[in-house]
Amino acid sequence: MTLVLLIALAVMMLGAAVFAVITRELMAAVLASGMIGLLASVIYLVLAAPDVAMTEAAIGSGLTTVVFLLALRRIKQLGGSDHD
Amino acid sequence: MTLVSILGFALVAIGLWGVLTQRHLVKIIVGFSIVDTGVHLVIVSLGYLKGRTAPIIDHALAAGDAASKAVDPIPSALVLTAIVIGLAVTALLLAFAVRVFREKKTLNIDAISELKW
Amino acid sequence: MIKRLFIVLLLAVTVYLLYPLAVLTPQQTLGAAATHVTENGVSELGAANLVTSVIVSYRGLDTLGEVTVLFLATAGVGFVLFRRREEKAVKSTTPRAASEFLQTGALLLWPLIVLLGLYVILHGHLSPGGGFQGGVILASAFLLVMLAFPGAALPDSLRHAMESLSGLAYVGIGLAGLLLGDYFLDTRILPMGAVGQLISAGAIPLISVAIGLKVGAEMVTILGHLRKEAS
Repeated sequence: MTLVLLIALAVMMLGAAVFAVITRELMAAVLASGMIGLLASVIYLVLAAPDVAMTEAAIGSGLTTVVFLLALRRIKQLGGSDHD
Repeated sequence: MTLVSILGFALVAIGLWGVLTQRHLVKIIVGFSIVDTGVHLVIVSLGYLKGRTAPIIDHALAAGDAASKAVDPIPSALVLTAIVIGLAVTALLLAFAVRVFREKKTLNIDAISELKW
Repeated sequence: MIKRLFIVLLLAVTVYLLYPLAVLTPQQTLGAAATHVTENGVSELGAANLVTSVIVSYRGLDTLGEVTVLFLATAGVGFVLFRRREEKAVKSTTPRAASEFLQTGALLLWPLIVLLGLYVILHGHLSPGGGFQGGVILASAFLLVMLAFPGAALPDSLRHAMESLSGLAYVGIGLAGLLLGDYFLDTRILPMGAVGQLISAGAIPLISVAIGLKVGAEMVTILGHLRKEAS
C-alpha cells in the first residue's frame, strides 16, 4: 500500500521537476517547484519524520514560493518579462 | 528506503540539468531549489528503518523501546536545519538576481559575463 | 553541440557515481550515535521529542551556527537590495489594494496563526514541532497581513529588537549553561520535571522560544526587504 503511494508520489514529483525545467513560463516553474516541496513533505511523513514534514510543508511549499513570486513581481515591475 | 533514495538522486540530476542548460537566471535558481529538495530526500531516506515509527515518546512509543522501535532521529535533525538554510540561500540568490536585473536590465546569463559592473 | 554532449556526459557521470549510494542495503539496526540518543535521550534531557533533543542539546552548536547563517543571509539580502535615498524606485503602478474579502480574512486569521505558531514553538519538546517550524508559522502570519495591506509593515525597531534580543537570549542561555552547569548549552540548569509535561526538559523550551522568535523575525525581515523592493 505504501509502495503504491510512494510510486505515485515519485512519478508526480519527477513530472513536476521535468516540467519546471522545461517550461518557458517562469510562474509555472515556480509553482511546480512549490508542488515538489508539498509532495516531498508527504514522503517525509511516510518515512516517519513528522518534524521534517512540517518544516518542508511550511518552508518548501510556502515561503520559498512566496519569495520567488516577490522577486518575479519586482522584475516585472522593472520592465522584465516573465517568459524565458 | 531505496525508492526514495533513487527519487532523490533523480531530482538532483534533473535540477543539475536545469542549472546547466537554462539561460534565464530565475530558472537556474529554481534548479538549485530542486537540487536542495533532492538532497534532503536522500538524507532522510538514509535514516529510515523498516517497520519503525517516529522518534517521539508518546502513547505509541514507550521510552523503554525507543532504541528498538524508533527511526533514526539524527538525519531528521540535520535536514531540519538544512531546509531552513536552503530557504535563506534561495532568498539571497533571488536578491542578487533582482539586483543584477536592476543594473543590467537583462537576466540572460549569456549577457552577464563580467564579474563587476 | 560539444557543450550539449559535455552536459550529457556530466549527468551520466553523476548518476553513475551516485547510484551505489542509492542501492545501499537499508540498515537493520540503529548506529551507535542514534542508539545512544534513543536509549538515553529521555533520561538525560527529559524531552519526549527526540529530534528536538538532538537539535537543541546534542547538536546545539550546529543550531547556533544555523541561526548565524540565517542572520548573515538576511543581512546579505538587505545589503544587496540597498537603495540610496535619491534613487528611490519610480513606481510604475500604485499598488492595488487587496479585495475586501482578503483584508477581512487576513485581519481575522492572523491572530489565530500567531497562536498556532506559539503553540508549535512551546510544545516542541512534546510533539512534532519546535523552534524552526513555529518561527516559520509566525512569519507566515505577518506575511498574510503584509500581502493584504500593501502599506503594512512590522515597525523596524520592533523587528530589530526581537532579532537581537532572541539571538542574545540564545547565547545567554548557552553561557548560563557554561557557568551554572557543565558545558556550553547545558540544558540541565533548569529542573527537568516529568516527561510529557509542558514545563519540563530543563532549558529546552526556553531555547526553542529563542530560536522560534529569531527565525520568525529573520523571515519577516527577508520578506519585508523583498516586498519593499517590489512595492
